[in-house]
Amino acid sequence: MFENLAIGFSAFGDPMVWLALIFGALAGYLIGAIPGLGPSLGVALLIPFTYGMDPVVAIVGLVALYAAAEYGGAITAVLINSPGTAAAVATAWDGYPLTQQGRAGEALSLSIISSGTGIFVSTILLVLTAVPLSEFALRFGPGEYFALALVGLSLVAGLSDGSPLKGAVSMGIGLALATIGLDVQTGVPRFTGGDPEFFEGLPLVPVLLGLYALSEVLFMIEDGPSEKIRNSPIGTLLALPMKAVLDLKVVILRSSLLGYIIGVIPGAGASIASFVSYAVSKRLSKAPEKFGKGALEGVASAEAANNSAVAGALAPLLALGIPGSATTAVMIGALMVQGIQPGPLLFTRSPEIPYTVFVSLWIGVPVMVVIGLAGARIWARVANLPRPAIAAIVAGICFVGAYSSETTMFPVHVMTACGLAGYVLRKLGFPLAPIILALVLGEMMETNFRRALISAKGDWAIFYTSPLTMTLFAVAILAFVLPGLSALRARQAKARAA
Amino acid sequence: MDHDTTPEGGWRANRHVLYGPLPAVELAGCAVLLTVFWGYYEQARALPLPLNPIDIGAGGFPFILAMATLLAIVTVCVAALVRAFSSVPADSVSIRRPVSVACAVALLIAQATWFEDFGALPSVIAFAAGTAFACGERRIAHLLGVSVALAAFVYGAFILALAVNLP
Repeated sequence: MFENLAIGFSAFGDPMVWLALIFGALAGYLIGAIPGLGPSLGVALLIPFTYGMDPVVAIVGLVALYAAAEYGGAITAVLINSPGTAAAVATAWDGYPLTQQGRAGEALSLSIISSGTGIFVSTILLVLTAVPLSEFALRFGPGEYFALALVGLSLVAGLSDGSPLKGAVSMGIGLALATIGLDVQTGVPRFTGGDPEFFEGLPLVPVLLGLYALSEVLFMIEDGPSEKIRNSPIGTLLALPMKAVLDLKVVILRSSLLGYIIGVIPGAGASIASFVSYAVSKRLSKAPEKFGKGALEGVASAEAANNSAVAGALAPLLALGIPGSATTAVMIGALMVQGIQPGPLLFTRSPEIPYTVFVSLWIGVPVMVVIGLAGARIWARVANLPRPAIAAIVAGICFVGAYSSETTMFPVHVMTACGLAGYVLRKLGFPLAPIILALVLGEMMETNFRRALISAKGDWAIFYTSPLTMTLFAVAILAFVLPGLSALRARQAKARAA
Repeated sequence: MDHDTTPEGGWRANRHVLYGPLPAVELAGCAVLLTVFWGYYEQARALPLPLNPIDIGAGGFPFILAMATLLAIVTVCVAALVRAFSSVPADSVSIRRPVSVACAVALLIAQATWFEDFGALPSVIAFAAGTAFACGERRIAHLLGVSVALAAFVYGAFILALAVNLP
């Protein structure tokens, strides 16, 4: 492991890797600070810029953007009560009251230090768990792999916004899109309408750009020009509250651990991590009544947890090849563009990739803390960028990015169609994350499904004789049933109240 | 989410908002999805059978997928029907500034159609200004500034730095 970590550190001998880290962090802060643009959209928009890059440089830039976007969301949450990302909502609950009390600098410094600590601690956990996880996954047969992918998809679909049923339909849409093209085992064209452009399947990057970025442009147009937000004075920005940080070390460490564990669970992600961690900290606090009124504990626990979830979400992606969140699904697309297939074999075939990711998360901490603190005033102003300008920029990058992926018009048409479809689906409450995940995992799922059947000589019992497969299927079913029951109970309560 | 709960339900259409009960809109959406997935199911069934009897062939997985997704869509329809006739106020779905959204959709389709013919940079300038205008920007300096700055960024990043061959 230490030898591989040294390989990861050695990647930073290349100035391009540093440049990618700094550029990714700056872009991440920018994206994170703008309400409505989250890490998924940011990573999708950055992919076109990585086409010609060395894979290590590209992945460092993307990971830096992902982590910094989670940091960036907190800055606007604290300063102007406008969380840049969903995961920063809990940060705003106490961060903004602190700003109103004239303690913006303290809140901001604490949020950034907690975020940095969260990333640092969770990366240690990532290093310790990802390798054993990948080694364990090497023992999986095709049946287990199919079941594992189904669990990942089901958890994301079941836990998505909206009903689990709609999540299931989204999952079906994504898997159906993944079957377009030549069948990998027989070479038979499927669902191509006879058009050779579809033979290689739907190009992933344009689909990502369309579903995440272009559909968001239409939502921005609905919102119209934004109103100017009044920024609060930051005050003593760089007065680091070291005593407060030391007093909160247990809260920060506990939240980092919790955030990592929740981040590993597919579908849970950074926002759930921050809410759960906030609730736990409130319950265990000696002064729970201060929560929501400017408790430093609230800011620290939410920020440490949501940033730890970033490293947590990378564990199943790197070790199993199963993305556990929308952003990591987009990230797997970026890796595939670079010819990298995440999964257990990545650690033996291309160890420089996962270990550079680990090291970049560590090295990225001081870089992001410095950029975050030094540029806090700028990031707060970013939230004031006119929405029409953002919409125009996002749409422009989508078109140029889609065209650049193959230098033909086919991906541009795919991106536009996906953008319009994504807008309609979001309006109807169908979540997009399961579509992306299913599209990314579809081919692997089908291949393993068919391999499992062939290895069992066509006997379907292979799917219900292995205890591991059975357990995974049970988890997949529960992923739909439990949120479904909870939604049903909520509806019954609403009916009683009416 | 983009849904609000309104006790009155019903439909409303004017230049500021298109507004309707979610269950009814869901049923319309599900009708489209049912048609699409029925076509998918038909095509999956029409795919060649496997030569190897222990394989399920090119159409096996899509067939199972189509069945499962059709079942899920029908269940969404049933749930929408139950909510439509329930005493609990239904959620609603709305599109604000529908004229602007329709214009933006037309712009996106136009850009996708003529991107190559116009050339990347002129297309970026023209359509960026159009998109910003559809989003409510009315200051000429801002419209021009954003379009030209974006075109300059595209030129610098994609053409000069990444050496992408743009039309």
